[in-house]
Amino acid sequence: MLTSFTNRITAAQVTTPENLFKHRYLHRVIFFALLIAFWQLVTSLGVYPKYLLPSPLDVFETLVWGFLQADYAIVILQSLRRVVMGYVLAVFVGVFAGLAIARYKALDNTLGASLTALQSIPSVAWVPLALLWFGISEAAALFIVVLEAFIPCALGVRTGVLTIPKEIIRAAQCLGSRHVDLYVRVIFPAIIPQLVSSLRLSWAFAWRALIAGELFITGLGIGQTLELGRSLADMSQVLSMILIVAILGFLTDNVFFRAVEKKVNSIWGL
Amino acid sequence: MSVKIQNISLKYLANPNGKAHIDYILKDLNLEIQQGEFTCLLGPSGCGKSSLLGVVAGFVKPTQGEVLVNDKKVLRPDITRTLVFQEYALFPWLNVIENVAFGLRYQFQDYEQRYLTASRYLKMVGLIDHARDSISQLSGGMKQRVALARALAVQPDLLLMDEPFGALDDKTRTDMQKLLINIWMELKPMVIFVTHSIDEALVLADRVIVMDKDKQTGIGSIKADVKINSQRPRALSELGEYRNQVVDVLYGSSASNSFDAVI
Repeated sequence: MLTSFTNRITAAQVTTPENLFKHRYLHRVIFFALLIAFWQLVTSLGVYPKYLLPSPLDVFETLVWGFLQADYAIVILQSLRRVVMGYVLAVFVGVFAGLAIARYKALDNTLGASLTALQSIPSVAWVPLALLWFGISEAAALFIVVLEAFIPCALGVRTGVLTIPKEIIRAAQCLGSRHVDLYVRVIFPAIIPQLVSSLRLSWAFAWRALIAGELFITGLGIGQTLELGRSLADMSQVLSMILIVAILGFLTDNVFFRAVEKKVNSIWGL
Repeated sequence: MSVKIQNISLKYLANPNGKAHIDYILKDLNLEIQQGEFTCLLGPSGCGKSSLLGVVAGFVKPTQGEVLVNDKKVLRPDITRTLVFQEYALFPWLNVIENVAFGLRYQFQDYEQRYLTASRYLKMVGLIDHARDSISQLSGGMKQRVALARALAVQPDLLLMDEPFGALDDKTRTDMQKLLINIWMELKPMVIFVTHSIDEALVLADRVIVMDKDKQTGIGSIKADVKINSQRPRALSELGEYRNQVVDVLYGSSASNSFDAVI
């Protein structure tokens, strides 16, 4: 075992970036191939009835059918539209809340502390309230999204501002920057690395909240389609929607946000 | 132009053994600096030299007393007194020349004029070829040269330097001292330079203000005001007499021959 461990270390030392890149994709392909094979095996053996656990092929067929003959594309776009709307609003609220909390100690002691409490409430818990206030409409889903997604943003901005090195602020002040100008030219750019990771977290929260909210409202959307699949006992539709959520989440988080984070960290020298 | 530090007292919240209490760090301190003078505040850690610099800059409000720069009372930090920090404090989201031009925005409306001025100071510190570089690409010495150019570009009445070369290696440190002296001889601003290196103070300053803190009360005070009348550039070997004087003040007369330069 020790030998295999040392082997692994030596192997890692000679690995070039190109190799690592190839390995990463090779690992992923093998993993997912095995996962799908296992899934296929379980369904072929008939352990569970087909209406409870459809085979990978069934789900694939449903996806193809959904995009070609039904409205999956519109469903996704509708959900994306909702999540973007809620997210933009949440980021707006979150950034200003975070700046205010970081600026005023009294706000930090009160609002800041309650944000942590608020964060521990799962989005589904807000559904009854949202439905009563806004009806079974889009507004209810947006309410839940904003409530969920502004919190990581506010907390991240607060931490970002409070951890700016004192010297950076002082350097700006003695060069003549004050008040709003100090916020625009120094404080805001200084927190951008922290802000980007908060935006990433907020986005993940917004997605979860949206799907939870959509289960209960009318209109077109991923959540509604998932719920429709449940009521029609069409598990391949349910699984298709879950797959779509996972893939969209992976693309935004691993492809988009990671690239932005990398770029920002290299400029800020982190 | 002059700087008058008058009866400055400064209290701070001390917490040595888990029990918080208010202590004086400076009490009734007086110091006057004349136009064009290069002054070093020299002393061991905790003697209040950096706190005094904070008061002069306007970041720290003194408990008592006032600082007058050109007979105007210091109330808050402003562009007439700029600072260079040990940790550079550059803005990483701006490139080299944008950092130098940061303060110029408040002095010149015109973009071109800002960049011409910034270029002039970048040339002075020898970094004009790196004007478009990002800060994270620079070495420590280069960062400090950018910080120096940034602080000088706004033409302050008073340049404050808080152990600016403390994080640099010996070779870079010596180079930076030479560069600073060359620039100072050209522009002749008033400088207050905080350091705990005796040799650095001797090489640079017109006046070395030696500070120390009282063992019982912990209050920092000025122990000596050593004027150095030696032609620049200076070699340390010529400064032995001044060096003995400073070491005497800090460690007593028996110590002059054995002590290390850095306190």
